[in-house]
Amino acid sequence: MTVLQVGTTGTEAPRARRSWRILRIGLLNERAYRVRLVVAPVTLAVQLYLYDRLWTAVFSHTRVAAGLTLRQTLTYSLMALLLARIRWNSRTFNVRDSLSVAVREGTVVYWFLRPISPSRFYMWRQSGDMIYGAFWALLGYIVLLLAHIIAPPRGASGAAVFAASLLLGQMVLYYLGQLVDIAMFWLVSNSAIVRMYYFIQDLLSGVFVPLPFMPALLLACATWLPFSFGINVPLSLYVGRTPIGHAARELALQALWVVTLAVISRLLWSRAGRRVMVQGG
Amino acid sequence: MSDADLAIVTRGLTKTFTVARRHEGRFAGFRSLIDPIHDRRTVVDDLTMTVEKGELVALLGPNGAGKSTSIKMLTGVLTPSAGEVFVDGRVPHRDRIANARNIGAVFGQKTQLWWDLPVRQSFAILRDIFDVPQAVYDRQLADFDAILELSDFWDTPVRHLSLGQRVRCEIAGAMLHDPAIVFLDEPTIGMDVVVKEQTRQFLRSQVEERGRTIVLTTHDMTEVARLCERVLLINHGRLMFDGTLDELKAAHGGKPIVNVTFSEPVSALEVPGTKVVSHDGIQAVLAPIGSSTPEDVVRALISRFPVVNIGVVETNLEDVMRDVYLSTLDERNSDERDGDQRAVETSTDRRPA
Repeated sequence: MTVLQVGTTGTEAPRARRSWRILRIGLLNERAYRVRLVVAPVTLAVQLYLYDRLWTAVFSHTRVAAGLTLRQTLTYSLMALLLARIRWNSRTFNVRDSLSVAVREGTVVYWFLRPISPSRFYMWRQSGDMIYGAFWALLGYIVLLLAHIIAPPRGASGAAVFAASLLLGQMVLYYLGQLVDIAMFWLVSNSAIVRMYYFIQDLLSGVFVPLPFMPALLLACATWLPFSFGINVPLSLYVGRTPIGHAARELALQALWVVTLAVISRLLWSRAGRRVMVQGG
Repeated sequence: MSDADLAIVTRGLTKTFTVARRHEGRFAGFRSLIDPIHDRRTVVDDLTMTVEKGELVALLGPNGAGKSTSIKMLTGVLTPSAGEVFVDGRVPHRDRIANARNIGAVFGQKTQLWWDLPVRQSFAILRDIFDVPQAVYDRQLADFDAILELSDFWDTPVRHLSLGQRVRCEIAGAMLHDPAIVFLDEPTIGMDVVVKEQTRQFLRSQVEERGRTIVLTTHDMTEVARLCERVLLINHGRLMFDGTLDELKAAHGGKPIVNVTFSEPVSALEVPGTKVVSHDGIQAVLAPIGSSTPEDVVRALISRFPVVNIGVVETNLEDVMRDVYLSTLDERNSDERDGDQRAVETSTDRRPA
């Protein structure tokens, strides 16, 4: 009989290798369905073209609307489409190893049988998807910038503020998406909620239409809800609708939402862990 | 033997779930929404058992008996409502990460592999998640491949594998990190006989050569007979039997039975030392009771009745299990009736004169 040997408790190198391995799962999944690699840029290009035509038509008889010029509107609107691509894969509720499918099919039981907490596994898995989405967004951004369709950042400080705001905004959207996913532990099926959630997120964050164009009531709603901190706040800073002097306040509010949502997520994960109900016994 | 020397120890292990029950009658849906009725259901009830290191134990029971819930408590996925549980000296739900490194599990058809990736990529992900040294990983893969023949299909995406291929990969995936204790919840369900035998050979080798402890739940009694030295029988969340298969057969009518055909209908079939299991005119099934043997029954039948055909049949293990399940069901129903009767009596006693 041999002496059984189990893995060493986590040192930094194995942890980095583990994180890297989980990060890559999303990309490997995409490679398994190669047609997606073509579909992603094609659908994005069509969307960008249609939005460009739409806003150019809207501004054909006016120079300024809702406090924005055509160039500002195009920059905001097309970049909003690109930023929405960052978490595009996370909104697909039929990916076999997504949390929602894992809970529905009972395979989530394995998430609790590994020497990594389910929330950490989820974070690395989602981060991989977001990095993959960010690659397409960055590619689109460079093309639009080189084609002079969108405006460049407003100086080095503007770029730095935008980068910080973009990062915080993606964290807000990550935690919001996570809350919807964790809800699966209570709901068992959440595809309708996921559809509704992403509609509301796109509507109130500025993906469909830049928020300054929204009716007053919706704008008021968007101001008090976290969605606008995901996309509207960084893009308003980028196009100069929000003066750079207000950046500190905006970044602080974003950080406050990140902390609030992170605390709620942590609480829900610990409760979800006690609620793991797997079909069949 | 102390708890730390045993692979598994449970004492009074209990799991109770709160389940919502729907209202009946008018506006049932609305009433259920605003004022749901909650029932408490005890799925595992006062389960006390031990498993020694290096044992291959079958955890048996009918559907809904509490087997899977017990395994989920042993793996740390579920927290018990009451009682104690130790797996290799650890409390699984309190020390989940350390416990995860020391156990492996396969839950029936549920896959832990990544559906769209080739099997070897799934294995590599598991290797890094469990932080398995490369040398151990290579040795494990070679060992598993030798019996399970995984290399024929381990570069194929999981979604393209047959059920038998996938379950072999699932079992290998559960043992890649060299766990001391493995829980297999109906792993061979739906497999063909060749793959089943291959899997059994693999499990035997893991116990005999690698010293692993395996807890197996299954409804396949051939598998139990071929693999397990010891059987733990659970029904209604309670441990009903703990012993060898032979002991189970002996305790639950494991004696052979006698099938007999008469040349003409027999009206009163009375044979000393036997129980008539069934009797339909010219055919009957009899079971020896007490010290009586099947040979005694055959001799008695031939001497008293116009026998044209007679045979002794060994009791099938499936039949034994069916009898055990039905007898435990009868006992429970009887207990519940007694309980109801006691409740009625108590209520009557309290009624004012």
